[in-house]
Amino acid sequence: MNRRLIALLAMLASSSPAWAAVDARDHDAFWLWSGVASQPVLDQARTLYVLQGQIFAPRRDRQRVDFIAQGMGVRRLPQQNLWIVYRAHTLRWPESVYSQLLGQVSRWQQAGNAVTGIQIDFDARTRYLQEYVTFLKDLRQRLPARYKLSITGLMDWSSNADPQAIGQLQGVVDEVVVQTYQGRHSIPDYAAYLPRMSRLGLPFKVGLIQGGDWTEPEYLQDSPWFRGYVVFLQNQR
Amino acid sequence: MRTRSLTPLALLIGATLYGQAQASGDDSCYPNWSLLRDSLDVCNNLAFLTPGNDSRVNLRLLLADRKALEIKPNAPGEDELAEGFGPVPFAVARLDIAQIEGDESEESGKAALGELLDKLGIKRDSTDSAGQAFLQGEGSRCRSNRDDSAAQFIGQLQATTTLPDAERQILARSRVQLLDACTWEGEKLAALLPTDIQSPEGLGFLTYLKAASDFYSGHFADAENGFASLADSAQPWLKETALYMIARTRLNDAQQDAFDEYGTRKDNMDPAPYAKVAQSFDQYLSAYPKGTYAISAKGLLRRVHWLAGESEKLAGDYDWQLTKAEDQQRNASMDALIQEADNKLLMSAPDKLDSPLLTATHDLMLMRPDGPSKMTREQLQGHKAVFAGQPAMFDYLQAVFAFYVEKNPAEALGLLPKNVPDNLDYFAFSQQTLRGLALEANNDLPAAQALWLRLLPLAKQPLQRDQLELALAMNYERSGQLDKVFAADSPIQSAQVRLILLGKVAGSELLHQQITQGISATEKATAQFVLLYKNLLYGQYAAFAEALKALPAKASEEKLGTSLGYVYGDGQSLQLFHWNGDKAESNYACPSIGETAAALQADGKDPKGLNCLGEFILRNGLDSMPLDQRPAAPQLASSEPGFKGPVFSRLDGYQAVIANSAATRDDKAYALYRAINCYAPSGYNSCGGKDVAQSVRKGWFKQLKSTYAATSWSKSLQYYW
Repeated sequence: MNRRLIALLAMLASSSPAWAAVDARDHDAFWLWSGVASQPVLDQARTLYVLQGQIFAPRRDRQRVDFIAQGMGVRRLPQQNLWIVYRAHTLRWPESVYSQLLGQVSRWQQAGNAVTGIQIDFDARTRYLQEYVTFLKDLRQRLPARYKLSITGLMDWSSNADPQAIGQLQGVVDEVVVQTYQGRHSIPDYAAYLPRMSRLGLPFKVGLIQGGDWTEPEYLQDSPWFRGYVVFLQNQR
Repeated sequence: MRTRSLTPLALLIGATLYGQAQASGDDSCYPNWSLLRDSLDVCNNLAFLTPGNDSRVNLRLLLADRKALEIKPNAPGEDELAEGFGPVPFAVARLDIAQIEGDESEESGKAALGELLDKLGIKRDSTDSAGQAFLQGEGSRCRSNRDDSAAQFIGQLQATTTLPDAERQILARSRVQLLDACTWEGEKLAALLPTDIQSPEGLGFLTYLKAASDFYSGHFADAENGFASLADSAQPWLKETALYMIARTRLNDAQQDAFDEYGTRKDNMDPAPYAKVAQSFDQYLSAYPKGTYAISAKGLLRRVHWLAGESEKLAGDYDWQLTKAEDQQRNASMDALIQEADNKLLMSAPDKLDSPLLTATHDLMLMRPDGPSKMTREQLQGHKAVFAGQPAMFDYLQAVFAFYVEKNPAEALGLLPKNVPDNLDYFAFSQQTLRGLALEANNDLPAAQALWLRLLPLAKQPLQRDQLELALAMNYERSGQLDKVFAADSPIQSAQVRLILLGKVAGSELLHQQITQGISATEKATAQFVLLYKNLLYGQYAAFAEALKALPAKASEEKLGTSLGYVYGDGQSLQLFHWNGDKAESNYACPSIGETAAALQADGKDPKGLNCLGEFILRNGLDSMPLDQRPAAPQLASSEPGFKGPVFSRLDGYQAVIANSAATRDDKAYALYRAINCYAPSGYNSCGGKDVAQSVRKGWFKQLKSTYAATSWSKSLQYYW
């Protein structure tokens, strides 16, 4: 998806009626973002992606990098698969960020959780992709081998991104969770992009938004790389 | 603000939250060029009090008028410019100036502790502490178990001269060992505590250490007893600190059951235990109103009120912190407090708060059409007493209600002052802006225009002038006076506003004028580009030929991006119109675009001309060109465009060739091949024009595969979509 189209969609989104199709009760893997209250559907969750922090360079001082906590405090969660999610706005992480991040992950582990791995949520607009690949390779080296590495991805990678850069992600990341929504709304053209996702050669999941619009394309279940869905929970109005 | 991902942030323990959480992968914002918006859009805020603003922006505007803070917007950043933003509208982050303050106490605490330990001849095995392991803002009672608090304790050991040297050593060592403690088992911790303290002074410090380790390891009852036993300590620091720690201990004890499995604050909690907590903080504060921990205690009282669900008290806390407290009386920065008030109070506030500041902010949220409960007139009337001291504010809220909720601009006008004051603070600016908008909604464009012009010289506060330029430009546009925007003495200098109008609505004459009279090289080049592009795409081939003649052979290579409506660095330069048909990638040769236009001027159905105009679009990536898209009302540039008629689309062009019996074999075969490809690979049409049914595409494919089977295009095409 090119940015122009997204711009158009963003404009349309404000006037379009609410979509309603993705019922979280049909799923068992969820993102739990900060500020989203727990809801009964979590009882059926087997996999949880829990936002824990945000890494960014403050506007007034781009040299500095801040790492702030977000989401719930460290606790014992019942899910079998727990991913700790960090949202990155910059890839220039000082050493302290790595040590705090790994320290927090091990606190989750020590609290009795089965931590599957960490997920990095970075809006790697295709122009930053090569830098992102380099960053992820380094992160993979630093991450204890028992943890998997997941990233979120944008659908436009499949059409606009440098295929070489994408290819280098094989063996570095264990999965890509592709977002089919923009803001609160599903991207109408998702069906056009997902087939290309299958050709990237990376295990991928499809990220849906609770209450968003989704019809599973027929080819999806046939893709050898498709690993299921993750639903981004929203507060119920 | 109320959005998908920021509702009461019940998740952090004792922490404030910075910034907004957006849905994963959703960093992008795009401008919405309108002053009329009643639902929340964090990306598009305005400089007046409106339901469409993020509540944090409205709160800032109100606070700026009280001189509690300054509006100091950041200039639009690189990304924001690439997304098409100008100064107004603006994303909420543009006003967020301060960031989380760097925690200097960590460094200074380390230095102070190091110095003290040097004097005592104690070496630290590790410089780690439980407190420093956390992220900024991560909540835990153990955050305070760190170097600076250890340094305070050891400093007191030093200062207590009657303490035997040996005991001072032992106690200091013990405190340093305790620095690691957060979740240790009680016995393990107890083993770290010294057993051979005899002096009464030493025993006081030992009691404190024991209570502190109970606190950090979560044995709150023991901790409270320990701290309570220091109530009559002769050592003043121990006495004061223990009193404060009793309150903290009670708070941690009370909140143990406050959150559900996922960290969300439980509803309908019994507030009774918190009364006891609040009482103990009050006790500390009345004993030590300016004590070492007074700021912290005041801050923690907010948490107590939040946990107990006491919104009225919480509102009182924020009102005091935001409008009355001095900088040094706050435990958090203004930015952090605004964020916190939004998360913890405004997004789940009860109907009425005993604070005009917060009630006004909250009422504006309630007037959004997509909120969870829609405000009624009776409800608003019920708030009148809150504004007894600020009747003008209540009138304004009623005017907002009339305008946005009841869609009754005439009534809104009756509630707004007609006199324009000389000093436009944000409130007066809001009154006048709403008046202008109500006049426009009442179809009194001239009166609104006069008002915008009158306000211009008075707009001194940041963002006001930028917003007025947008308002005036939209008024001119809708009054059929677009030329006034571009007049030599026009007050409208906003590059984005001018370029959008040139790209979307300007007619041929105005574009001609701006090619020479534009206020910047970019504006001139944009006018020239738009003129060429629109003449070509709207079939004005003679005018296109004229415009092309005026284009120098060495036309500017400046890439026009956002000025043409592109985002994120995409764009085109004037060189586009020197396209000479090169790179016949599909072996269909075309002449220059000038020659193609000339052919179409001679015959609008010329098959080669239509196919080659299609090639021009295809090879230069001009499908769904932003200049073709018309903004929807009530946005800037949504009025009738200067160029009329349908814009050329490749799909229409190919269909005309397919239907043309006079077209040559190659022209027809290529049109079929391209038309089918318009739907590749997704089945969605990417060529513009009216969609055709799949059966039609199937027919094209059959025709290409049979009648034109010998062509290379037929041979290379395996599918249709």
